[in-house]
Parts: sequence; structure tokens; C-alpha cells
Amino acid sequence: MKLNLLPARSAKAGGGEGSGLVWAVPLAIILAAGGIGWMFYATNFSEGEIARQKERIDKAKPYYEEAVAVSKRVDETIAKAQGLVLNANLADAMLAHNTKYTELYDEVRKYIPPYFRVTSMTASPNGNAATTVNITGVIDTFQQYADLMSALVRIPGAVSVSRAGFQDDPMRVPNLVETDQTGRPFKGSQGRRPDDALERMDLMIAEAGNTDFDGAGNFGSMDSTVTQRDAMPDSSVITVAIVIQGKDVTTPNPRATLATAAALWPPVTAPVTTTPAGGTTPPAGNQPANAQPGGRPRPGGDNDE
Amino acid sequence: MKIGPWPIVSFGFMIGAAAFAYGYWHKYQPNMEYAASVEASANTFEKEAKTLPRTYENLNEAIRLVKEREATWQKVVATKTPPASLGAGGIDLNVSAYQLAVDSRVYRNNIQRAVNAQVKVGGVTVMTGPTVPGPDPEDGAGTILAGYYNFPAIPFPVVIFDLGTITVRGTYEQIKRNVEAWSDMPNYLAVADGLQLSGTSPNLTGTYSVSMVGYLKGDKIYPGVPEGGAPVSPGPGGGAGTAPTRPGGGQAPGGPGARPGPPMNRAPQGGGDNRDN
Repeated sequence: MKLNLLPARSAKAGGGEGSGLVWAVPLAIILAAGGIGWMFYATNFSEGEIARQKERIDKAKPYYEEAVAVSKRVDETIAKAQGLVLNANLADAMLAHNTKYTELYDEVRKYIPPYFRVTSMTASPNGNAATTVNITGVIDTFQQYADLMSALVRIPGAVSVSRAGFQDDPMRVPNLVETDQTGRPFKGSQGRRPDDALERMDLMIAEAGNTDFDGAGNFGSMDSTVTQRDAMPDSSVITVAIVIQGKDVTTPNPRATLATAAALWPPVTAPVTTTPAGGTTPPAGNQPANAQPGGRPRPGGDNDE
Repeated sequence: MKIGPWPIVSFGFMIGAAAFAYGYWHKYQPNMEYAASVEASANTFEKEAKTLPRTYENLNEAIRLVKEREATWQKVVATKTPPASLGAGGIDLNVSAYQLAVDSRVYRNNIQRAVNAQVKVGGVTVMTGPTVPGPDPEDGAGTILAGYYNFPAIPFPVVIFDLGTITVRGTYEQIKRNVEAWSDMPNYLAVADGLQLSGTSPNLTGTYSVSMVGYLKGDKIYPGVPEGGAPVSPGPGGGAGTAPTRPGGGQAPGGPGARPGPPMNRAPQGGGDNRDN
């Protein structure tokens, strides 16, 4: 008797060995082939992807390089013109500035009421886009002092109007005292009006200090050098300051502006000493006749041209 | 020895797994990572390439703006720059510095005449007119170019004058015309600033300041001259006197026999001037 050490199931299957190989070998081949197939597919696919992206680059690169080149030309065009632009802008700004004050004053004058006799008008920049206009002039009454503010605030762009200088001397009704049982009104600069008519007359005579032409505020002056008439008696010299937004009287500064021009050109040194020789000055660049100012000159004194 | 079906299957699986692993980790994954980076580059290239039309528009716009500024500058050149000759009231910089020192004094007087004519425009009475500064007496032939014509501190020769306060008298309209007329000053750019009016109309006084700029024509500037310090006068009696002094105790003052320095062998290239554009 032989000892059968195989388990019953194996022993049973042992009889069908050929049938096990029938499915195992194809399955093994399928698994192996699947892995190998994937390897080739993945390799081809990924390399193809690289090729596709490189093709995109190759297609876009000429346009890209052209765009870069054109951008560089834009930068060069602007950089070359910076000095020219600086000079042209400075010229524009200088020429435009000469009318700014007069235009501003013309604008302000429209809103100055006739009772305000102007003796001085100045303007100064106030920040980047505002201007303060200071006007000195003469008015007569406290009512005009108020009305003037209402008139000036109508100036287009006026954001604030301030005032100073009015000499307030109003007519007041006094309290009653023994000598004045009526309470006659009088100005602060004057004395109380007594009831007694003679005393009142003496007071008024005393107040009339001048017996001839007063000449207050240079009125009546025959001096030709006196061009300004100031306040008459009972008038006040006042000053108003108007801040106008949107008006810029900042002046261009040629010296400071041109000092920055050095940064826009390559560094240069002064022409160095050389043997003097007569030279000619050819017309520069696109200048039809004369050399172009505002451009860098060359050392002259040579005969080689 | 017999091999069962499972070892066979396992063998096939291992081969397949090894091929898969090789394909994935050695090929697919690195290739796809590389492809992703190439794709990012491609996107960048395409994005930039798409800006090409806009870039051309920018170029055309830049050229247009530059030409516009050139046209503006040409107008200024035509009317706002002094003549290139002394006889016509301007200055010619292409003369020796010795001559330039002489010419500059004449030129200063020419400018003063131009300013005097300008400051009266409008029919005003000039109370205080401006004085045009002349070359600094300390500016010898060697330094007049830098001192009076601001070259090469400014990359082109230019005269700049801050003329100070001007006081004129007249009516409002006269003063207004007078101030605004600085825009029309021939051969120079001038800016009037800080107009203050005072007085009682019609006898007004206008006070303002003026700065002036003269861009000088001239494509060439004569080289500098080897001028030294001023010599000390010889002693009385015609004796030997003292030797000429020189700044810094250097070489003898340059004269006809002085050895000239090397010529400037390359013209400075003027960016921004119209010759290059």
C-alpha cells in the first residue's frame, strides 16, 4: 500500500493536470502581454504628448520672437524720444503757462461785485490742482462784507472763501443814563448823544476834526506815482482768500527740468582740448537748414567732414 | 517536477507587472511631467504670440506719438530758438573758446535787447525791467561752455535765465497783453509766473517773474582750449618779475606752443534728437 500524502482535493485534481494549464497559461500570457502592451502604449503616448507640445512651441515661437522684437522696438522708440519729449513738453508747458494767471483773473473778475473796489489781486498754487486767489479791496458796509462772500463763492470751483479786515463800527442803541434819557443811536467810535441840544452840538463839533480836505486813502492826490486809492473814511480795506479747485498755476521750472535731461542721454564729457582748426557746421539730422537744438552736439573744430 | 497553474499565472502576472511598472514609472510619468512643463512653455509662447497684433499697434502708436512730439518740437525750433550766428542776434558755438568768450558778451547784449523789446509789449510802462546775466567774469575760455551754456551738465547747449521780478504799469488789458505776450517772444522760450496786480484801475501795477530758455542751434561744439590761470603781472622796472601762476601748480598755461590733448574721436550719440529718429 502506498502512502498518499496529497490532500484529497489535490489528489482528485491531480487527475486533471492538463485542464489547469489550459486556463493558467493563457491567463499568464494575457497578464504579461497586458503589462508589456501598457508599457509600449504609455511610452508612445507620453512621447507623443511631448512631441505635440513641442510642435505647439515650434509653431508659436516665430510669432513670439517677433512680438518680443517689436516690443523691444517700442521700448527703443520711446527711449530714443525721451529727450525730445522732455524738451517738447517743457516748451508746451512754458508757453501754456503765460496765460494761466490772466485767465484765472479774468474768471475771478466776473464774480467781483461792483461795490468791492479791488486794490490788489494775487494767486498762488495750493497743492496739485488748486489755487488760492487773494484779493484785497475796499468795501463800505457790513452788509457788503456778507454779500461779497455770497458773490465769490459762486466762482466755479471755489471750495472755500475766507475774509478778514473789516473795521466794524456799527450804529448801536445805548442804554439810558442820566444825561441821555432818549437812547439815541451812535457808533462805537463816537460818543453818547446827550439829550441837551447844545451839548449834542458841541459833541458833533468836536468830532469834526478836519476842517479841510482829508485826502484819506490817497484820494485827491495829484502825485503821479500814487496809483492806488485805499479806503475812504468809513470804508474798510479787507482781504479775501478764495481756494479754487481745478485751477493749477504751478509754473514749469526750466532749470530743474533740463537738469534731469542728463539722465536721458548717454554720459558725455566736454569736448577735449585739441589743435584748433576751422570747422564747418553741417545741418543736423532732418533739419532743413540749421542744426537741431535740443540734441546732443558733436565736437567741432575738425575739417574731416 | 510539475508546475501548477497558479505559479504560471503568477509568473505571467509578474512579467506584466514589471512591464507595467517600467512603462509607468520609467516612461509614462516622467514623460508626462516633462510634457506638462513643455505645455506650460507652449502656453506662454502662444500667449505672447497672440499679443503680436497688439504689439504692432503699440509700435505704431509709439511712432505716432513720437512724430507728434517731433512736430511740436519742430514748431518750437522754427520760432523759439536763437539764430546760429552772432550777426543775426544768436550765437555760433563752433568757434574757439577764446572767441566764444568774446562772442558771449555780444550775445548777452543781443539777448538783453530782445528782452527789452519784449517787456514793453502791450503798451505798458516798464517800472523795473529784467537784466540778462552775462557770462561770469570768472568764466574764462576754458569754462565758459559749462558756465554760460550749461554744457555738458545738460546734454545740449542751452542758456537758462531766471530774470527775476518785473514790474510794469498800465491798464488791466495792457498788463494782461504784456504777460501773455511772453509766449510770443521770438527766438526764446519764456515763462511768466506769479502775476500780482495792485493799484486802482485804470492805473494798475503788475508784478511777475520771468524765466527764459534758449536752445542753441549748433551741431558741433569746438573743443575746449588749454587755458590756464591768469598770470601775475611782472614787477615794476621791467625786471624778471614772477613766474606765471597756474591753478594747482600744474603745467604752464596753454598757448600756441602748448601740446594739445587728444581729439575727441567719437561724436556723442544724441538719443532723443531728431537725427537718430
